[in-house]
Amino acid sequence: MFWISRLGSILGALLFCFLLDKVTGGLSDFSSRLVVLAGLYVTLSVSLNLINGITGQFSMGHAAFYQVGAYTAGYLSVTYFSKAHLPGFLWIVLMMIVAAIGAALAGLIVGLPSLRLKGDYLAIVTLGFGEIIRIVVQNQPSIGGAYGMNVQPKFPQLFASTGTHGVWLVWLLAILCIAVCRNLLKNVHGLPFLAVREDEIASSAMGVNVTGVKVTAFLIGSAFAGAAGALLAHYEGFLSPTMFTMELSFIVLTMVVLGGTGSITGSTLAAIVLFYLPEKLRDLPPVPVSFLVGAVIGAVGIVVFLKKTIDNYHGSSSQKTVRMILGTATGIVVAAALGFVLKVIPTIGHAAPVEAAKLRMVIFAVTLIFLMLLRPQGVFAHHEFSWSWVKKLLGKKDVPTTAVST
Amino acid sequence: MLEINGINVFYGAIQALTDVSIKVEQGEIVSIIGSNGAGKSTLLRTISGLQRPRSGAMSFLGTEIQDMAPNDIVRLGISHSPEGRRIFTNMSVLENLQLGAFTRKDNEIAQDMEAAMDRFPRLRERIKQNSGTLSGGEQQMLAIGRAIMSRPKLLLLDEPSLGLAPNLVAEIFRIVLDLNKDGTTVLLVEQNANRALEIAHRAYVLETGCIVLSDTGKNLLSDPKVKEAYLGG
Repeated sequence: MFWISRLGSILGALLFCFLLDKVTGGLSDFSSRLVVLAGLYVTLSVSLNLINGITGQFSMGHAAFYQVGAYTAGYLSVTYFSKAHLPGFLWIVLMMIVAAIGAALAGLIVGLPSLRLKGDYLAIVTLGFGEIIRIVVQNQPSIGGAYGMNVQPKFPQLFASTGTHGVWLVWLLAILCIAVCRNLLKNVHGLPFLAVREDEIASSAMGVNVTGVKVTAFLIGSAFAGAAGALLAHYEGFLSPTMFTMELSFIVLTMVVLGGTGSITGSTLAAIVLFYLPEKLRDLPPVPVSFLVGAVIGAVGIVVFLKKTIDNYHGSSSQKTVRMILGTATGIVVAAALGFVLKVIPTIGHAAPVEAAKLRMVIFAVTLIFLMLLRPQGVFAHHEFSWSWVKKLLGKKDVPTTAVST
Repeated sequence: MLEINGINVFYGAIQALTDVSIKVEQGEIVSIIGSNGAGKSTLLRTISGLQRPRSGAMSFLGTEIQDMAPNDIVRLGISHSPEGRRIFTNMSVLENLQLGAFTRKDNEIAQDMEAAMDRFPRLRERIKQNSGTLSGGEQQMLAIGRAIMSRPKLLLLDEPSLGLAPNLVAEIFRIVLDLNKDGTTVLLVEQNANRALEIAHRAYVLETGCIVLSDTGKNLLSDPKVKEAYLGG
């Protein structure tokens, strides 16, 4: 039974990747680009979640490992691809492995000395490391320096013989990363990672090699980021240090925190949503000023109401949910009504419509602030998606699992 | 079984233990009593490798342990239930127990899990529950249960009665005696000197980092100095 379900999941994952490849083949360049980048962000966020969320080591330099992987693969491809006479598809897989090893080595170099540090101190060291890597690359003319480096061959050439676009490989890596993290957690061998997050002294008293666990988490996490970097290098065909700034590390960190620190489901979904949200907000139509004012007042009202309900309302959880839904609905209606009413005021009514798309980063930031206000533990907190949870939602009873398993 | 010879432990510039030597023989319960800040917990932390001695020697069953990493010391058969219980509050009771058996590779873990739950029936009732939701007494039982899951030869218990109601304190001490009868050697650190001396074969009195007295538990109970300082006259 175990192997059947395991085989099923693997086949399902492969099928999903190839279908995604087929579907995105028909999309515009821009849309398929978003699918590829989303896949890379999922890999980054899930791998950072292993370090930050599951093992509890606050790392802020994930972009650096991504960069190490990207430049390792990029440099090797430029130098050796033409001499290697390997099929493109095998070459890229090889590059992913090499990039993963390169990034893992970088992880080891940062990890070994700095993982004895805790919390804020580790955060500062990893942040510094990220900047060091970026600036070193920026000042290395042999790999393009600040001008950047052209990477050949690109995806179309690499995947020409397979008749695909390579999107599948990006998502296969993301799924592999998710699978590795999930299996680690489901397994007794994963417990030490959670234990280190909870209490290092107690873990150590239990016989857990605390430094070993931290370094392992760092190695796995940075290896996946490196492999993702290899894909980025060959997908973009161009690398530059400006692609790997602190900002990237922070965005990935935001994904992990917002999804729920420690939750793989959370970091996966948050990566997809947070990546798409700013892109989708580009499509917002121009909005009359009155409606914008209404929306702002409505949104603030809704958030205040929800926050109050969460903190101070003592009813059953279903009553609470109903109250929150009704409150939100009322807020939206009020916002729309305000939009019509405020038109009466001449200065507002006659003003030119605002291009909401220009405000997309503001909307994005405000959404993040509101979410953190309402759910500081992250959307999924430390919960994971599971089929028994779906069954519970559908009203079926949870099948009791046998208690002791070791 | 355990022999500590003249260890000196420092926290930065502050000396926590001065020239401490103790001995624990197979099958004993040895208590260490002393007031707040005497260095009792530091001694246990040093034995389990969480703290390094600056000088001195420690050997366990013939192996020198003063320079060993904590995870290797656990593998030798020393299990430490640290001060303040330190259970993993965001994990289930089951996961806490599994972590206790983390160093073991044999296939009798499930069996020992059953045995631990027989010893602590409350844990069986709450096996799937988040251990942060347990009461203080239950958490202490979990801490001990977790510590014995590694099948220790020597169990280090740090203030197991701290903050518990009197009836629970009695139960914890009964459990310690039971464990000892079943073959586990126990090194116990306590502020509750009365109880600790009652169940101990031998005991040491620690004062500002030095061993000032050592005798059998019974003799120390009737020692006038100990009576005055630790047993409330």
